[in-house]
Amino acid sequence: MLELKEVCFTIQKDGDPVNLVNQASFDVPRGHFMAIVGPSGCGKTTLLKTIAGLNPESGGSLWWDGRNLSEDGDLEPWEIGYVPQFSIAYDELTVDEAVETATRLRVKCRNTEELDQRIDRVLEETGLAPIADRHIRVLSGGQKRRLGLAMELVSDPKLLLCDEVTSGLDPRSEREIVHLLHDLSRNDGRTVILVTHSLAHLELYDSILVNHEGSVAFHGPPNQLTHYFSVDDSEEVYPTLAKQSGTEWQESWAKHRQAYYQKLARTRELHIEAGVIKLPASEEPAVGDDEQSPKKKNKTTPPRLPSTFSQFGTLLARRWKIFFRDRTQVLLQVAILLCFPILVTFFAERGKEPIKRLSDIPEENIVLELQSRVEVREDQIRVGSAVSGMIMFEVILLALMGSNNAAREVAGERKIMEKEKFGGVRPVSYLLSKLAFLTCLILAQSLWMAMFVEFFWQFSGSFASHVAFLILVNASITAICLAISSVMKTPEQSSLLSIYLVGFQLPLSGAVLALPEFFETLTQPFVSAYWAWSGSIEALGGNIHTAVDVITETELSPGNVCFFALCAQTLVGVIVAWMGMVRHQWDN
Amino acid sequence: MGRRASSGLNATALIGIAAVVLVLVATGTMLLKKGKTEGFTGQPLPVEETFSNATAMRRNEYTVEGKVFRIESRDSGVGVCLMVGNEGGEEEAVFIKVPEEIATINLERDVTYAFKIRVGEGGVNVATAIKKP
Repeated sequence: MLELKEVCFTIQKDGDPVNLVNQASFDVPRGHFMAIVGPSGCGKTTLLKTIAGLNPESGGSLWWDGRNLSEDGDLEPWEIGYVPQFSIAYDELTVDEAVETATRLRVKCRNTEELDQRIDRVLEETGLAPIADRHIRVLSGGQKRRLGLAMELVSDPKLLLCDEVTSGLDPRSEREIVHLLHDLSRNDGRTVILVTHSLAHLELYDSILVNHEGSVAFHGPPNQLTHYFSVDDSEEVYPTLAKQSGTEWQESWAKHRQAYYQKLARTRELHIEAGVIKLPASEEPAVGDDEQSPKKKNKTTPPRLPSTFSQFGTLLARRWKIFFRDRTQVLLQVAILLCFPILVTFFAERGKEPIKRLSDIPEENIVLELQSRVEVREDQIRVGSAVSGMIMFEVILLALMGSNNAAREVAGERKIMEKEKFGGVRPVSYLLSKLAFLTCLILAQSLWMAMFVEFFWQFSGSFASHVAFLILVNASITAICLAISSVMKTPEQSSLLSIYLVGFQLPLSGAVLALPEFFETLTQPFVSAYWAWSGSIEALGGNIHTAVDVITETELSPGNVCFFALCAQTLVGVIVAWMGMVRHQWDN
Repeated sequence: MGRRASSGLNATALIGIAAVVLVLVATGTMLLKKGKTEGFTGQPLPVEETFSNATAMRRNEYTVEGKVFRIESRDSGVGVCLMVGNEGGEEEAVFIKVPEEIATINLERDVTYAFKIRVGEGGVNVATAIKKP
């Protein structure tokens, strides 16, 4: 049984505490279908989120089967299902794939047979079996809500919370969904709580909870609703609510609560006797009866969460599937991969030109000696500029690729990630899957860039070091943008910040214009492009290095320092990305 | 045992992150210090004498340390000009020829290097070893 004892959820508004959930006290037994209704903004969803544990209760306590959820540990991911208002599936997947992924992420199955059975059961239960092969993007609103339910039912939760899953649906779809939820609450002692603003199909619920200004104004049988509010029609309940404050309604309700709860208990007993509500043997037989024999309790074996590695594999497989099914994304990646290196090679000819050297024996004629020096300097400037520019061009384009790789990676699917975390997906599995996916992109982009450019312009020096620096600059920008993506609230913010990050790389690198010394000291540690450019130039050998050194005012750093700086940036990016993924951001 | 809303970064994770940051700072400092090795030991180059009596110094070996301000690519290697402090506390420009087989590290302007040199037959300083102190 779910019990709320004077639960409050308080926020600070203009320095004053405001109770969005005001001392809510009510009981919901097993195998019960309850609706939380109330006018817009009355705190229905806030109450549901408080039950789910997404809003920390500021006072009071929540109990589940005699367990204080704040002190004895929260509901296990398999015990609770939460269907939010938004879609929790990727449009690129089919219904079957979405349910399979949800199952693989939430339930540890012994074998494929058990996995298939679980998926088939859920598809049948939600009526999705006939459209299992259909892509999510073509589903109707009602079908998407069913899918949301199906993805929650894979772990066979004992408490199912649904937030406005009927809103925006046509009357027929709404009726179907409410019927489905009603049916789901009839078996296995599953408690279903639906938040809705609709007062249709009230007869299907076991109880109705009316919320007003964060306070419980009524919780009782649906057929008593009009009687309690002294109205002729349920549609008149909301206007009647407005006549008193939430606190007044709550005080009034407290006086009648016991009488209505007795009616609820009597109806429930009748339903159990008639077999309308089927409780598993291990569950309580009636409201208020908490006694269960230990022998019966042991009968239910709770599903176990899959391992971190298993979740990582499932998430990675899904990421690749979504990537390859998104044609625009694939085309963009291929275009970037092919076109960016071509841009660099436009400058290859200048970088290949020979550089004159001074003779070991100086010219006796001072004019000839000076002329010779001028010619050498001209060559150095021409070739040095081209080589430095090409290296910086490679670096900047790879930084741009890194930004494109990661800027939306987490922010773009934040809601789905939060929902999956709620269902038991570990942030570290999520992070690892992102890193594995992005590493493949980084390697493909950086190696192709290095080898393609090498084909047209041979790198004079340690090519391996140059490749390493190209990979590292892409990795560091990707990691930093992944961090931005996991911290930012929206994908738009994340993309914008990531583009700014790349945009500032070139001017702040000092490769084009040397920065004032104090400014250089301040910014250099954070500019990935500088370290990759400087490291690559350090990897150049002899004459070419001297030529680049001649045209560069900015001080170059040793290769090992550049390597360390880029690795450190990557590591910091990954750590911040992980922190952003761990952080609870459900409301973003 | 809080609820989901209160779950987040725990103390162990924060300690781990702090440890990683410390390791990064320590490694960075170590890398930067690593470059500051000692110069060569040996007789320092008498800078003023190189202008007045270079031929007398032929076949002698010296050590010299200074900031490079000019690098020239030459047929048989690199020629570097560096500013070296003389006995009077003033700075003088010294030219050193660095053969290709000695120039194992990339020489850069505005960077200080230590050279072990041998004065050649024509009085030209030829590097026999280079370090970046």
